[in-house]
Amino acid sequence: MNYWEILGIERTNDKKTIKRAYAKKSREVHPEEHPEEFKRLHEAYEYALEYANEIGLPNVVVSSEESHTENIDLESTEEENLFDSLRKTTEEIPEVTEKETSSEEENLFDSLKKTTEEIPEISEEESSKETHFEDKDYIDFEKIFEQDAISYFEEVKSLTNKSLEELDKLYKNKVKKFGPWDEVCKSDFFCEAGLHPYFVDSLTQFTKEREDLPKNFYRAVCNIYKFEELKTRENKGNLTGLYELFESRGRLYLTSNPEKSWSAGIFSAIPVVIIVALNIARTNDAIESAIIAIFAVLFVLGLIVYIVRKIKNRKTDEDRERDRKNKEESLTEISPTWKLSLHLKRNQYYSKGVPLVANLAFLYSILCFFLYDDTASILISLLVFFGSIFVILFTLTVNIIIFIRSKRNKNKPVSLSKKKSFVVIALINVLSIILVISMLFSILQ
Amino acid sequence: MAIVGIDLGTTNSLVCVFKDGKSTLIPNSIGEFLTPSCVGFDDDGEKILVGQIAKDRLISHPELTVASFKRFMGTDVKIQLAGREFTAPELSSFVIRQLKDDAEAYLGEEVTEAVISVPAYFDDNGRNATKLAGELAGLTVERIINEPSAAALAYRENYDEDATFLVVDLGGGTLDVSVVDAFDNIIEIVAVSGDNHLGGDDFNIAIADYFCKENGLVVSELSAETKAIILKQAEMCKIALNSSEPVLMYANIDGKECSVTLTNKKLVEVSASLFRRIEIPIGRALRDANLTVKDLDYVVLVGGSSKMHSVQKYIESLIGVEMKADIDPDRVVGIGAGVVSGIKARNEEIKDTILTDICPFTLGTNIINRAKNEDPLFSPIIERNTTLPASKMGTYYTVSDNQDKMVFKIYQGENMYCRDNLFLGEISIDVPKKKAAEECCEVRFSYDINGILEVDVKCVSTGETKSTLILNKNIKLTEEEIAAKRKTLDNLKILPRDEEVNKVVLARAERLFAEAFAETRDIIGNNISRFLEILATQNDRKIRCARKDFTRLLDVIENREDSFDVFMREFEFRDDDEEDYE
Repeated sequence: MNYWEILGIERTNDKKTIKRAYAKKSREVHPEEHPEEFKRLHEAYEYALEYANEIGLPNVVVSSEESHTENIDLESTEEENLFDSLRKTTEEIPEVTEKETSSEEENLFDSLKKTTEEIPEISEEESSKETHFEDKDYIDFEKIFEQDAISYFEEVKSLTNKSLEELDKLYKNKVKKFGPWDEVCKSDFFCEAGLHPYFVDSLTQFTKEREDLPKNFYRAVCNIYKFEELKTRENKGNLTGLYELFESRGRLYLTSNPEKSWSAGIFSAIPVVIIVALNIARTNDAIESAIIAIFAVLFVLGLIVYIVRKIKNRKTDEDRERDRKNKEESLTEISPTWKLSLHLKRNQYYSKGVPLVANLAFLYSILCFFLYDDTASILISLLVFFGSIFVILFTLTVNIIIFIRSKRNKNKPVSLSKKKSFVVIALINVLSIILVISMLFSILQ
Repeated sequence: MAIVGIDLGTTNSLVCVFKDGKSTLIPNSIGEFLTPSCVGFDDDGEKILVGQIAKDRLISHPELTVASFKRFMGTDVKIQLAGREFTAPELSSFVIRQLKDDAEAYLGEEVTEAVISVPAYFDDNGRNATKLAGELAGLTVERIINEPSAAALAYRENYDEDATFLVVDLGGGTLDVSVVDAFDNIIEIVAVSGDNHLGGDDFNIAIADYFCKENGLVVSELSAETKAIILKQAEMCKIALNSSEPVLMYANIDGKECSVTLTNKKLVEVSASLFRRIEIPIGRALRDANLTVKDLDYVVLVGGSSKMHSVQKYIESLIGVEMKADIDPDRVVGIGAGVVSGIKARNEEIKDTILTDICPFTLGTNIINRAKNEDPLFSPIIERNTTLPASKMGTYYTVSDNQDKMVFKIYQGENMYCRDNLFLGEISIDVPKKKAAEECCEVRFSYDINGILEVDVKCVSTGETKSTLILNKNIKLTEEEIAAKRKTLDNLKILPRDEEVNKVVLARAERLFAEAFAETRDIIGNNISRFLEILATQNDRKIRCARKDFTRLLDVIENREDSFDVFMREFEFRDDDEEDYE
């Protein structure tokens, strides 16, 4: 049966006929008693209505093609006539309907606004009879909305000016320039109007005019607009301009901050430099002890920095819960190979904290080697030595894998700064290993 | 063996039955149609009090009474009451039990099944919670109906010419818009839209903001009580504007007298953004229904806030057709639910009427997001505004080589990412290991007229099928669990109907006692003890008379009639011989 047969009518574009047929048939297949049949009937009804709306879909076959071809044979003449008449109507109608629909879609209520503008005289008379309101009570919603929009824009303007004034004050203040940008960005007036196009445009202009804004400014703005989330979205809306400006200046501070990897690399480089100095200074006892003292201080400082950073970035229970959920969800739909890549992706922290600690442990072992003569200490330092070598090598491999993967996988964009930091850390690791091995040789000789 | 229709509202509930060819409201034990959705314990913490009596005790015994628990339907929120914890469905079940008792007393037969209305914006959790509430009250609840659809049915009873109309339901906190096509025996809901955060409360806030601005008050510096007072005044002012203007809004803030004059025009000006937001869902619903304002015959206004004069004016200016609000907005949903119960009971007089509702939200599953693996995308299967019963299919392919399993998580919502939508359940199926995209599964969603979703998954190459009924894990309990829970709740006895009438009067007296001052307070106090004495005599006739007198006294106190002082001084409980009240 095709849709029209289900409805029990000829193909038609008269909505009334369709509705009547549907109502008549529905008495036989009430959804309470015959849900399946009703579902089919309703499908047919929906189709027929759509047909009536669009006038003339070519094919209406549901299941049996034979019956349809028969239908065509039998009704071919009729159908031609039908289509002829349809063609005529469609030729006439489209222009009208197109105009109508386009105008209606845009100004769904405009036509009415016009009518209501004309109507008031009558409706007021009527309404004054019914209610206790006077003629002057007529409320011109359009006008009020217009004024409201204007006053809202004025408000946004004043909020924007206030925010930018505050920012400018900070910018001009030499002492505070590197200070509390975060507080300004979190202030009420900033948050209230922050997403308004005017505000964003003004902020973009503000940034453009000032080349030497401090890091804290960029970081605060990235934070407040959640650029991290915007990164994966193609449509950044109002924020496109600002985002691109930040990107072009290389000032996008997202939560997975490449800055940290940089500093980690630098920190792990310092001990390497020191050990070279140590090696040079070994001839003089007084200098050597001084350098060792400095090194000890640096060692402690490095550790403190590392620990503080770890604590600061500590994940809350909520984060962990979300991570767990994400992990479950993403792992269910993908194959084992994907799992590995995810695993590696998640372990990118190797590239940040681990080299620092490993390098420090490594140096500590060497220090022990120099300072103590008893076998126990030497054994311990040897143990630490090989342990740290293992960690460094592991980190290096992981970094290399990530780097290669990021090159191969075009779907996952890895930002330039990230790539750089990988390279730098890998280089530092290699450098420190070469240095240490050469040192070992020199000692043995 | 009767089926009733229940409107389980945030503030008031009511029960209807289809009788003598129309939906009939059922009065409760004190003769009112509206039963406040309030639940409380009596002073001993043993018997449950429901309705007006509990509402009156809200002020005098706030720790023993709760209201507005409908807001928590479908959430895990536990509500503290008299040292015990209850969920929203449990509290609602007390109200339903009360309504069931009222209906049984009225009909003289057992009530076994109910049709309960829910807001159109209720998600699956809310719907299941409502169902559970009915089941806990000992009723079978097969049908859940959307409130605007119920309202459409109620109006359909009054206007039976073919029409396409709009139902605008503006309640305390939400706006629902439904496009309805009614012809012959059919009432078809064509499209539904809404704004879950727009309602009467927002207008109160707008007025309160204006009031503060005009009087130089800084909102953030006001105490919670002051804010409550201003909001209450704003609400009263808003209601007063419906009958006359201008209205003077007045409040005494920390000894400073503040006032502002409001007209409807001013109200529109201060809440212009709210008015503009009304237009959005109306436009969306019309677009979804492929209609324009010209196709509409009239607009039906439902919900307390639609009584607002300015809102009516605005909708009129927007749509320009006749407005219909002749059925009490507080009752229209209950009446509609009663009609549905008649259809459900296959009542001869309304047997052929068909209400086709639609799925108000989109249902779909998760698909991989190549850009960000841990953040899957949402792939709709049943689009919103699909007529129920609906059955739709989607085909999904494997995404990686040697994939041996496909997991489909089922979500409800309109957002692009799964994480933003409501998780309903999941189903997994094994597939043969092959290259990516060489294996596929057909997923069929069937959403039936009772709002139950069934998901079938079929692996195309092996022909293996799996199906699951989506039952929410938190809300939906097994039958044994429901039975066990019902037993524990049944142990909490609701006050018997005949005792209740006296208690209602007492509770009201206690509330007025708490609200009153000085002399009035003494008079109420004295009469409460007198009334208690009479109650203790257990003389039915005497009690009836005293109750009547006492009620009159309370009426006078509450309404502050002119004869107030005279009446109070002369008030005495009359002897039963003086006048026959029956």
